[in-house]
Amino acid sequence: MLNDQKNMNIKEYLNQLNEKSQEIYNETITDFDDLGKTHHLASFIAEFSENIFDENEKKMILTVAIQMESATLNMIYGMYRQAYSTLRLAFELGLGAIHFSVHKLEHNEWIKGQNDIKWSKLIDEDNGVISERFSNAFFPELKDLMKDYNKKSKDVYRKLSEFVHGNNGTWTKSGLTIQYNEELKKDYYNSYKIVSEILIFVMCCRYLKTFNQKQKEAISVFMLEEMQHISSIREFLGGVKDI
Amino acid sequence: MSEFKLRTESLKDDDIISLAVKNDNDKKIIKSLTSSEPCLLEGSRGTGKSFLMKISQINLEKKSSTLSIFISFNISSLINTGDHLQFYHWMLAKTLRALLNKLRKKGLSISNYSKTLLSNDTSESEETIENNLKSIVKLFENSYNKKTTDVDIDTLPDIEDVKEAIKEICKENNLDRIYFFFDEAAHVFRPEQQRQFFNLFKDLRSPYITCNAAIYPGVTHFGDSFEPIHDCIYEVLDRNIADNDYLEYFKKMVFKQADASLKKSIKDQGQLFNTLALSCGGNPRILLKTIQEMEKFNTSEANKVIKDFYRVKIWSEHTELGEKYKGHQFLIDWGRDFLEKTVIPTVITNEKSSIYFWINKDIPETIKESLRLLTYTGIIKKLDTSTRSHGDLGIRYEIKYGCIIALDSNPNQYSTELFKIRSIRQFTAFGKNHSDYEKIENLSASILEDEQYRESLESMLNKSINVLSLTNWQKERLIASGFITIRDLYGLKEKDLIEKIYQVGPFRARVMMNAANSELLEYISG
Repeated sequence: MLNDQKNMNIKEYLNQLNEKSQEIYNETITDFDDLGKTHHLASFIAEFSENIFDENEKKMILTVAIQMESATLNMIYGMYRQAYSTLRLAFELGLGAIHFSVHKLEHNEWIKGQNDIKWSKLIDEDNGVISERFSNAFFPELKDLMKDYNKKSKDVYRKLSEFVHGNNGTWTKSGLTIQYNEELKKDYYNSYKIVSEILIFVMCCRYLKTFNQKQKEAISVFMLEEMQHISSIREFLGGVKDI
Repeated sequence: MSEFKLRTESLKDDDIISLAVKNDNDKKIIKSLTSSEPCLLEGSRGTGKSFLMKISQINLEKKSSTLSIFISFNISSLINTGDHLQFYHWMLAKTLRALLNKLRKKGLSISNYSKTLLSNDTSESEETIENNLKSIVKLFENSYNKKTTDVDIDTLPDIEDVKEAIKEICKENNLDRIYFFFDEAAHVFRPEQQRQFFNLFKDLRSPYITCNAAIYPGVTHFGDSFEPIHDCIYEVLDRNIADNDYLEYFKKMVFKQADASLKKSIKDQGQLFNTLALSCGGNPRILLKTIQEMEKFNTSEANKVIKDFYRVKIWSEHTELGEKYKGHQFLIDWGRDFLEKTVIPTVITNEKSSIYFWINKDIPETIKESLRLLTYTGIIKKLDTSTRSHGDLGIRYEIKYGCIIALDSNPNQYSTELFKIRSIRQFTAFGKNHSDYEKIENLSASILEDEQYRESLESMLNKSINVLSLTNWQKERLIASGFITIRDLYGLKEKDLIEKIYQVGPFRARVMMNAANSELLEYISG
């Protein structure tokens, strides 16, 4: 439709795109529950970062939270592909931070721009951040859940990657024009929830046992509402024990 | 055997809806919990209080005009100061923190960190209603964090300020009402904390707030200002083995989590399932746990599990209570002895008897307390409080069915006979005097009151650091640096240890602090 308008100048063209985006914004902004939830999850990740001892790791996790908010901002304006892509970036960055927390050499190289975050390394079933080896080192009680979370991570990453790589099917889904898409929006909320849960789970696995009582208290309201189904985390934070 | 979810806390909201089985009483309770009136829900451990509260909360969540918040006070023993009101303030701060959390989750409040995305930041100094509430929470938190100094109560916000803030939040966000669900409420065996809880429960009454709480049968210290009959709806969660739908209800509940092969086994061996369901005495968690422990669903395995669970495990659980709540240990141990050595042997040899016993209402207070503790674990259940036997008034109790049949060599076979002859009118009576009572008759004064609890905590803090699980070298370093008692360590930070003790770095400091904290937590965990 936009291509049909021959005599438009750049300002008018962008104004029309803006109007289109505003329409999508107005349609999406009514999702109070879902938008509240996404902000809530990102906020918690930011709060969690405040308790991390290492400044560089803390900074990375805070960036994750901000990227997650940016992803949602893209989604609200109908830029679904960019939303998925930013969410994937946040996911990678989050798991990367955890990986770097145990590989300081790589972390420093990454800070200097001499090293990249490699997904295959992060997700490695034997040595990655979602492996039994990892939980054995930092939170052994979570061992039995690692396989499941590793699979979940691969699945959601693959899904998000389809939009980043521009797989053929995703062009049909996200379209070539800026347009409100209910299905993509719902799918985004769902992926966001999964990504957040995995990130919070892995952060717990890596850091929770290093927290003192005050730090545990600070995160326990959120944790005992959102993650209490994981009994070892619940019990560690003072919640009821499984019998 | 199928792997079951035994606790509501282990379930996600979607699972709760799909696993729910509701009988008429459950529906009535859910109705009460979602009404605007405050409600107390009484039930033993594992009877499903949390589950029904969670279903009610999920139902309320569907309405855009309400907010519902779940709160658990399970580490409440950590608050121990000379000021009785501090526990009250601690609960209030926890409650309001949970409210703030929910406001953010619902998109009604924004995190402060969001200013990283907004150039014109919404800082916490801005005068918004949510920020007002945040500052109230901080004032309360500061009041109980200052453990050593007296806090000037006059500087703290009044409960009316809190209610006003909640009213404003409701008005601003078009909310009719905010529901608080207190799970595990007042379960700590400290009378003063129970009283403070019910003071808060009553104080929070407002046209914009409804409080609901789950309590155990042993909770009796409601305080002077709270009367359960007048100040709330009082619901009791009880699944009676005599109910017509009892067996079918439990079958449906197990089927919700059972795999195909277990379902087939249960259908094929209905009587065996009935024995297991009756044994649990209306307690879903125990039923699921016993079935889960069976390697195969057959009679010999069921008999083995019933004997193991109802002869050993259920009693161990009761005895462990005494380790957790030191002040009650004597009463807990006496209750177990009384049931195991006197009541149950009498009940099963009395040919008129079944699973019920009666006890005179004028028994010593210590005996009542011991029996209350047995109802907490669910080994006995209070049926009524004013039944006559030989002219005297007394209380009737039901002994958990499983605890009776487990004593037989073939529990499943015995169950088929017992269930038929069992009659609530046939009970063994225990009068107001009995030789067993003498063993704890002088204990009346020692039922734990707060004063004594604090004293025992004091003695704990005064213990030498030598009791901690540390190496001799670590202990020597601590002592050489002036850390003689656990009190000297408590409240310190790791960095304090790193600074003050030569050769102690982050790792050793963590080990030392963990040892001190776990000792303390172990002792006072609620």
